[in-house]
Amino acid sequence: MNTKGLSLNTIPPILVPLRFFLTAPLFGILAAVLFLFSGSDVWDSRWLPGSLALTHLLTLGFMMMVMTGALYQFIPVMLGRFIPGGEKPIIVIHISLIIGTLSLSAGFLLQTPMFYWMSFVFLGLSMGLFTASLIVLLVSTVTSHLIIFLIRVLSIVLFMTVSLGLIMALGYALSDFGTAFRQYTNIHALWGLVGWVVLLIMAVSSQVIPMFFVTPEFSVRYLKTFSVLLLISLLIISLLILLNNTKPTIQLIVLGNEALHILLSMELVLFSTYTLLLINKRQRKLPDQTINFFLLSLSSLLMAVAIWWSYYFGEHGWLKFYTIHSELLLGVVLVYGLALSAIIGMLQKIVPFLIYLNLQNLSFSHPDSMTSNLILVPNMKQVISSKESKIQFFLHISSFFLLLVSIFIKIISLFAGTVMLLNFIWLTWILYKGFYLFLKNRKLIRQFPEIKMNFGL
Amino acid sequence: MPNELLIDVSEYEAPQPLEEVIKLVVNINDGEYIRMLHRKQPLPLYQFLNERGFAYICNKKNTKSLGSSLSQWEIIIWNKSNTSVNDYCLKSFSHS
Repeated sequence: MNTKGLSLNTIPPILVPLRFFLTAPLFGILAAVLFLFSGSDVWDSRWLPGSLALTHLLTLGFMMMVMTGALYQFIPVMLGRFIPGGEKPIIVIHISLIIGTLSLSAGFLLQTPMFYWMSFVFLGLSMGLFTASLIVLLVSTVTSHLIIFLIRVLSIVLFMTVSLGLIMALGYALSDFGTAFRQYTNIHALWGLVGWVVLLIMAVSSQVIPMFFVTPEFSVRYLKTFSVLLLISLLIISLLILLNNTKPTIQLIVLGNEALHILLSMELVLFSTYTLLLINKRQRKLPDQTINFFLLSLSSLLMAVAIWWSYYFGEHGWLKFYTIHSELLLGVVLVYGLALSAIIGMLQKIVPFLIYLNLQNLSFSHPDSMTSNLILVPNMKQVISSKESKIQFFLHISSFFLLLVSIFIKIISLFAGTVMLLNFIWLTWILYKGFYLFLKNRKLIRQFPEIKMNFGL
Repeated sequence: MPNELLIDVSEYEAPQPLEEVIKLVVNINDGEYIRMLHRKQPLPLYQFLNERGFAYICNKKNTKSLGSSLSQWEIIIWNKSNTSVNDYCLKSFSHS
């Protein structure tokens, strides 16, 4: 086995990914508080300030935050290479993402140009720096590793989503929206909610599901083909959206648009059924609460396709009342059902894994700690127990369905918001409890004499 | 001839493969080497082995199962300071 070019130091300092993982649930709490204060008003239109702020607190504050941390963690473990740049850019990316997301939400809520300017600068800095660090790695790494391929496609999708987002933030800051602003928003939402979310779930699933649930590996050829097909579909649909704006009467554009949407929805159904089948092929079907998060996530993707199709066909029939709300339904299913379920499930696995790995590694340099009566290197279930994961899943699935119902029955919004708040408070509690356990045990392990390894190598 | 300690962790979920093989590595005796079977390359293990004066050779073995690809990795691990085991492992597994 040729390991030339691989750094054998593959475990990044724990705070690199954890700083992102520990910040994300706080944005979830903020989103829930905003929902509680705005009440059912956010369901009146997706264009309302409250709806836009809520969406971006979850997509940037939660999803983007976790994704950034996860890439800093996964890439070294999968490839044996760190994302270049060292720790300083990571701190800048983290802090700019926090300030950028907060100012964008404040901009939406208060409609103050200054906040839009701030979000433009800080989100631009954060995403620019992150993309630049990744590009160095993506260009220099000549490997066919699946995760690198998916990250390459993901970077293109992210670049499109973020660029359009930044252009629109600038539009808000200058109060100059131009004629195609609505089309830009639709393309931004399409790339963000379908492209980025689905590819992110694909990348996360392809690494986390076989590793922690012992399923067969994902077919590399299938995932590569799927991700490229998704990218091409999104590109053509976006072009058609823009063309439709200028020449709405051309029949070919309308037909092409429909054909592409059918293709896209078939791709999504194929991906979710394929992954569900792989999960069903688990080698040892041990009871594990965290698998439920992935099952919910993939079912949500099927649900999203069903909502889209019924919206498409039901515009004038008995589904009319329902189709008025279908854009909001799709948003909740894609963000809260598809993305958040998988991300919360992933956090329940990788945070305990990181804590275990780092303490295990430290204990080898302090070997007497291993013979101590105290268990200083906790196993994953001691960091987050099955019972705690079960409570998390119950709160997550309840809040998801309550949010969906609250779109139609507005009176339960307060209840839905409270359960959503509890969901994120519980996530915050178990992650910070795990981090406290790590800090406590690290201190105890360091009290044992350190052995410097020297084998004369 | 050195004694082989065989461990198949290909059906264990993370981090059990790492835990199990580390238990073997820290208790390895003179004249022993480990043959580890896994479904993927354990990169975090290499860091641990490298820091502790252990050598390893990793070979990929492909087997096809129904509709899915089950990749098996074979990792041979031994203590470098044990000359006879070191010579044996390098000679026997380097080109497999």
